[in-house]
Formats: sequence, C-alpha cells, structure tokens
Amino acid sequence: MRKLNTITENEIKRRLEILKEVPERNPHAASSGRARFLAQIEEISKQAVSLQGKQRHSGWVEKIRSNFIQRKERLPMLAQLLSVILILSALLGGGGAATVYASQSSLPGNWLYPVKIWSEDMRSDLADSPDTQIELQLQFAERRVEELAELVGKGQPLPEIVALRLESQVNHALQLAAGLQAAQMSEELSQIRQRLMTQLQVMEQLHSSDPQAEALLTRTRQMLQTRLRLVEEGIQSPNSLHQQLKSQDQSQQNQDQLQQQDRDRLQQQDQERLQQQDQQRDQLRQQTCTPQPQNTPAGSPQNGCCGSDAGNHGNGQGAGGNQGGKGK
Amino acid sequence: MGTQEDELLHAARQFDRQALTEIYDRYSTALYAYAMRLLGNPELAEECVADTFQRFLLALRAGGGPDGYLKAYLYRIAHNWITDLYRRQPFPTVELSENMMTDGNANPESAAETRFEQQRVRAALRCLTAEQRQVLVLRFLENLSIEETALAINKPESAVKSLQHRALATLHRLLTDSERKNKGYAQA
Repeated sequence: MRKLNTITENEIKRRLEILKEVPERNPHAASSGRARFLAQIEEISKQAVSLQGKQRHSGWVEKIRSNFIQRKERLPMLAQLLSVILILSALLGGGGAATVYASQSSLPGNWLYPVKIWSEDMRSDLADSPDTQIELQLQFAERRVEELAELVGKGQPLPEIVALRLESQVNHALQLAAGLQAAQMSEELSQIRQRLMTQLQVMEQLHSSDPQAEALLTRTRQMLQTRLRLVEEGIQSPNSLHQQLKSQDQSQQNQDQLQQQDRDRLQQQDQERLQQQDQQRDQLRQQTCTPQPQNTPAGSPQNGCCGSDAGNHGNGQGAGGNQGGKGK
Repeated sequence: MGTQEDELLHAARQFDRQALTEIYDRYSTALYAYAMRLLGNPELAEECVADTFQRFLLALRAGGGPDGYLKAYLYRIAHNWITDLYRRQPFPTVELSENMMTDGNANPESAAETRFEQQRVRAALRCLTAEQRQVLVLRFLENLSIEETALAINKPESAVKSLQHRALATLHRLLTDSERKNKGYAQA
C-alpha cells in the first residue's frame, strides 16, 4: 500500500511539473504593481485603525469593494492631494503626471493600465462626499464598459477582471446610495438608474464571435440587468433596497454552507470541459501536423507530431457534436 | 521563522517603508508564480499579487497580520483570493489562437501541447476541494514542507498529511480518467 502511494505521489509530482515553468513576468506590470504597493503604504499608513472592524461587520458589497478599493478615514483634502502628487512624482519620475494622463486611455493588457486603475482608486479616496463617490464609481463603471466595447471592436480577448471591476464599481455605488437619507437616496438612485440603462444599452450592442468573450458579455449584461432591477425597486421602496442588500448579504454568509454543492457542480462542469479540451487538442494536432503520405504507417517515428494521432481523426470528428455546446 | 524575519515583520507592523518594501521584493515574484500556476493568466496573477499585499497592509494597519510565518500567511491570502475567483468565474477554455502556434521559437505543436496539458492539470486541480488544492500546490509546486504547509493553511500537520493523501488519490483518478477517455477516442 505504501509502495502504491509512493508511485501515485511520484506520478502526480511528475504531472504537476508542467505547471512549474511560468512565463517571465512582464517587467512593466511588475514595476507598476510595485509602485502601486508603495503608494498603498503611504495611503494605508494614514488610515485610522478602526477600518478592519468596519469591514468585518459589513456586508457582501463591502467585501467586494474591499477587494478592489481601499477605504480610509478622510484626511484634509490638501494633505491628500499633496501626498498623491508627491507619490506620483516620486514613483513615475518627472513625467508622472503625464504618465497618469497618458494611462487614462489605456486598455487592459497595456502596461499603463494598472496606473489608470490606481489613479481611479486614488480619485475615489479623495472624494469627500457620498454623492461625489457615487459619481466617480459610475464614471469608472462607464470606463469599464467603454474598455469592453473597445476590446470587442479590436477583436481582442476580454479580461475577466474588467467585468469584475465593473460589477464591483456598480455595487459600490449602490451601497453608497443605500447609506443615504431617504430623499437623497431616491435622487441618487434615479441617477444610478439612468447611468445603468446607458451602460446596458452599450452592452447590448456588443457581441463577439469568441464564445468565451460572448459568455463574459452575457454575464455582464445580466449583472447590469439585476442591478437595474434592484435600483428600480429601491426607488419604489427605499426599504426594499435595504432588504435586498441585507438578503444578499445573508446569502453571501451562507455561501460557505453551499460550497460543497457548488464544488460538485463545478467538478462536473470542469470534467466536461476537460473532455472538450482533449477533443480540441486532437483537432489542433490535426490542424498543425503536416499531412503525411498515405503509405506512412500510423504511429511510425517519422510521423512526428501526428504519429500517435493517426487514429485520432475519428475522435476529432466525433467530438464535433460537443464543440458547439457551451460549458455554462 | 528566523530572527531576521521576526525583525522584518516587527518593523512592518510599525509601517516601516523599508521593511514593507523588502517584504514585497522578497515575496511578490513567488506569489506571482503561484497565481500564474493556478490561473494561467498574467493579468489575474498581477491582480492577485496586488490584492494580496493590499490585504496584508490593511491587516497590519488593523493590528492583525501574520502571527509568525510570513510567507505562509501571504500564500494563504493569495489562495483565498484565487478560491473566491474560482467561485465567481467559469472555467476558461483553451483558445486555439494564433499565439499558441507562434509563441516562442520552439516547435509550435509542442507549445500547444504543453498549454493543453497545463490547462488539463489546472482543471483537474480545480476539481479538488480548496484545501486539497492548496496542499498539493504548496507541497509539490512551491516545495513547502509539511510543517510550512500546515502553517499556511492553519491546520495541524496530521491534517495536511491526510489532505495530501486524499488530494493525490483524487487528482490521480481525475487525470487517469481524462487520459483513458482520450485514449478511447484515439482508438475509436
């Protein structure tokens, strides 16, 4: 039994080896990440110590928000502004402001994009009133939609992180609105509804031939529709929004209990995808291999990459029925 | 944990910029590699590293943070980040892109094979429970000892051994099943 375990362990170690080799890290992305961290040291060192308690007792939106946006108690505006200018100048050299400006039109994948995100976080932190913060979150959410539109237009892959940020920013705006007095809340919700409708209209125009990109676009549209419904219910009845947020919060808390069910479901889906990927690989082999003379025996050494695949052609064809199926 | 790391962590708790920068420089590359191995996506891996260190700073500011072993603590944050992402994001498919065919100067067919195999192993890892996955990755990809892994996942060493045993068996079964099906297609 022990011997069997050793064999299994060695076999798994061997199979995992393939993940050990990691492509070289993009130096621009690495230095942007480091700059962001150094800026966060300055920012967070000024925060009041009560922050963690606030986060611990807050709900799902706060959890999402804390993943992306740092919160802190407000310092005087001038001091914050000076610190931002100093940090930008120190980190990005004499052309810091120009770099930040240039980054504003960058797209995901560009080395300036992290600077764009970072500058958004900084602007959000500088905002000293909820309505300004809501406005900023909506502006940033619109930027995410524009980025998706531009990427779709260029036929480039759509990074999941853009959709996650969009969701986070919409959630943040909603949470901020929910914390306002009834009259102001209603006003802000109307504003949010208008902006979400515009975002949704743009998203409805976006389509991609890449199934993965299309799936992300569909999920994003669904997310916006859900939030729009939430806002409309909130306008009708402010208490309803509180309750919805509360119930979603409760649902988030129950997520751990449902984790096992999710895992089973994901396991089944992933196994199906594994199978699909096997089939894709067979197809790729067929596409990449030079056609061999008909008299070349299958599996012969000179057959190169196709050698062991001569019998796989049936697989590639047989897999066709599954290729069009969407995983999720 | 060595005395040097004790001192580093002590300084970090005081928000000493030099100490925090040293921690970042010491561990960010390893954390990036860890995230890349599980996610296979450079942008998400960078985001994981950024959020890991942000959470670390916030924890320190709130008087929390690692009790002892810093490296294990950072891996734990990164692992939680990746697990959260897994819950929210469907499993990515392998795109048959032209990049796959032209990446590097090696045999493109071989490069494509490698990517497929990497995705297959990642997918199998994703089928494990979060703890099983973490134990396997830390033990066999990050080369942490049983003791270090126990610290990283906040469980006793006996639990790590047990999780490792179950994870090995499950992963072996998943990969074998997948290969068996593949061979079945090949023979069909």
